Amino acid sequence: MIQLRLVMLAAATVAAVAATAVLAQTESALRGATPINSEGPAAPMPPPRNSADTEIRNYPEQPPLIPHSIEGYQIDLNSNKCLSCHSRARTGESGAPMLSITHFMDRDGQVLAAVSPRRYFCAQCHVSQYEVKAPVKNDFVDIDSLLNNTQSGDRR
Amino acid sequence: MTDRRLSAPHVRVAVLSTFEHRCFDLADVGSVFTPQSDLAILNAIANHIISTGRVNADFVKRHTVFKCGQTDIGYGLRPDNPLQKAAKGAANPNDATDITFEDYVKFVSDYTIKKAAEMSGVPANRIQEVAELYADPKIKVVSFWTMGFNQHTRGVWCNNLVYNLHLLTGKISEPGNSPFSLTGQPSACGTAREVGTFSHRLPADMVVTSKEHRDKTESIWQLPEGTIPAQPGYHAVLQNRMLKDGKLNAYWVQVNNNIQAAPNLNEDGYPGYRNPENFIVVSEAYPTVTTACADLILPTAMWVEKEGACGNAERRTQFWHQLVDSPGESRSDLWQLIEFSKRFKIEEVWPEELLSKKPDYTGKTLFDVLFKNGMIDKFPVSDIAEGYKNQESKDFGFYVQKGLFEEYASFGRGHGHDLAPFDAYHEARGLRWPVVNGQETRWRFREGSDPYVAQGRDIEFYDFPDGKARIFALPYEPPAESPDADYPFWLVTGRVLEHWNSGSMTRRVPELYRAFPNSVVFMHPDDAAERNLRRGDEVKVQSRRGFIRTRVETRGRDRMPRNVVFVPWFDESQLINKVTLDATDPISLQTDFKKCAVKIEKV
Repeated sequence: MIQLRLVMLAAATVAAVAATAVLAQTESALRGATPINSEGPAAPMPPPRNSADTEIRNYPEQPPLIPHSIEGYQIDLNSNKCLSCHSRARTGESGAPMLSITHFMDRDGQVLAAVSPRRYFCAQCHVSQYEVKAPVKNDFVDIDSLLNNTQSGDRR
Repeated sequence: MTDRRLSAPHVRVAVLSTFEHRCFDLADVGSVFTPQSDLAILNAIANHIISTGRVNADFVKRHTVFKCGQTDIGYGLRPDNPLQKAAKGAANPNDATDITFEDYVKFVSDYTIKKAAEMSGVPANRIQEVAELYADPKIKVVSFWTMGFNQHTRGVWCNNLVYNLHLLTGKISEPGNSPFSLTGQPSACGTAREVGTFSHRLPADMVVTSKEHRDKTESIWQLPEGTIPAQPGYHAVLQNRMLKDGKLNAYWVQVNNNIQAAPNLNEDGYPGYRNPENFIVVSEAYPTVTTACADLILPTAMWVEKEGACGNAERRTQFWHQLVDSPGESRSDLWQLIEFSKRFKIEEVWPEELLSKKPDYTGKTLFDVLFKNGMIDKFPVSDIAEGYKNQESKDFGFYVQKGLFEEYASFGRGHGHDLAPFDAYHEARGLRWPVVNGQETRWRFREGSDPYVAQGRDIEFYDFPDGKARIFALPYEPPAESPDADYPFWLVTGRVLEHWNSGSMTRRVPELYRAFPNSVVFMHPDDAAERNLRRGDEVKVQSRRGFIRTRVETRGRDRMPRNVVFVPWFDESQLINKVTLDATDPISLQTDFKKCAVKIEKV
């Protein structure tokens, strides 16, 4: 136990040295400059993004983002506002993209005539966006860039 | 669930909560109840089953016994708290006495649907509609629950009370009939409870307070008798209190954002971490408010940067391989622990008396005793599946994960906790224990599905020596803190779909950040209007312990009843746990993050 004490004392010395470095790190992009034992002003509530421009997906399986506002949309047992534009029959008049064919499949991959019940709640996977800049940069590399950077003949 | 509800016209969904959230979009019967009154509603449903003569008498007689639980068990607060001093049953919260079915019937007869309706604010006919789903012998029922039940000062009681409903009606352990806690996804169940990473637990659901369990563990771990203390260590909430009090001085947090996640940050967490007597080490993959409070930060690998396993709530054990290298000098939590063990000689950490029972350990390091002991280092690096890296095994010279897993599995094999051989999990997409002769168990305690059920028993709850499940008589007791004239609102904290817990990962994904950038306070439009508040206004959410500044939200996915507000806790720029109360369930020791009193003021 005495030996363990000594280790702890050594550790405490390290702590004193490390303290300056740690203080410098308390300012984080996600919290801002406010120290942890204080509370700063709340960021303003940004407006929802509302456009018809679709965003390119980062990878093929990504659920597409919703480019427009869905404020006040009813999606429940009784009705689904999204389907009033995105269902197969409505896309002609709405000009909206039709739901993916995967959304007509049951869990065994059998294609149904109508939207599969398991895909009914759109907002479980698809999200709309606010007009706000994400404070942390993301260096995600999409698959095409990744393949272009590999040597030709590496993999196909 | 949506698939089932929309595919089968006879299926009904009932949702009970303290406010309306997205689950209500699927609900046929939606009930918003006053916080804590779930205890009364559950007892009223049991009473309804009994009083309408729908108890499954044969099941109850053969497979259950009745118990009366200890009452007035306190709120897991500090011992000098007046609520704690006043609680007569606080010393033995988990005690129970035997009672008869008739005693139980008399106990729940007090909880009429009318009384539950008065206490909860849910119309009586709606409680009756839910009660009928359980009572009707022709309807199969699955009950799902999550944090609202468990993060509750009477969380174990809530779990017992919902099990009561399934046991009284025999609706359990078969397809379509089961109580099912949705927590433990993906790791709390299999990677904390089952494996024993709690202050009072040992592997395979054993506990340090049992001499038999300690003996068995010490024997498998090749340790002398008496190495494992019989007294549990500090539990999670107590750790912050003891850091503050200076009784816990060296603290190593591994990939857990507990400064943001733990309750009552102002009074315990922050002063505890910043107490100059303490040395705080935080292993993390991201900068968080917890790393900001650390004395030393250890950069740490994430899940696909190491080989590992997790266990789910449905008993499914799943493995994955290391797929990529972790960046820079970061290493996994496991690597850090093993490397740390090399720094100590056994005589530095064991008293002489203990060492004298195992003198051949003299001069060895903790690494030698714990890992290079013929058990953990039994499997060579060449056993690793071709094409996969494994940083720990490369550095330590043996297949670390395989050795650790096989040792862990030896605790449960033959005891109803059987796990398959290590390699089987890299082949299968998860297996549900007990896995006996290569077969997983889909419905536990049911003959024909669970190999541990004796022939002819039909159902056997074999975790108890008598093979019978417990039906508990447990009353309504009030919450630790309720709204009053000064702090008129209930505060409920929780989550939004877009962000995982404290948001350290998801708020770094631009699409998810922009989907829900900052936390808000959801409140009823009339509550807002009475205070001259409009959507988007900046407010202070203030309790007796602290405040945050946030924005009012009166629309959107969550629809609040009067006098209840909801604040998601994912946002590190709005540390809502400065406001919450550190009241815990005295049995589970889990914090109640769903109930404390606050006021809302315009900034």
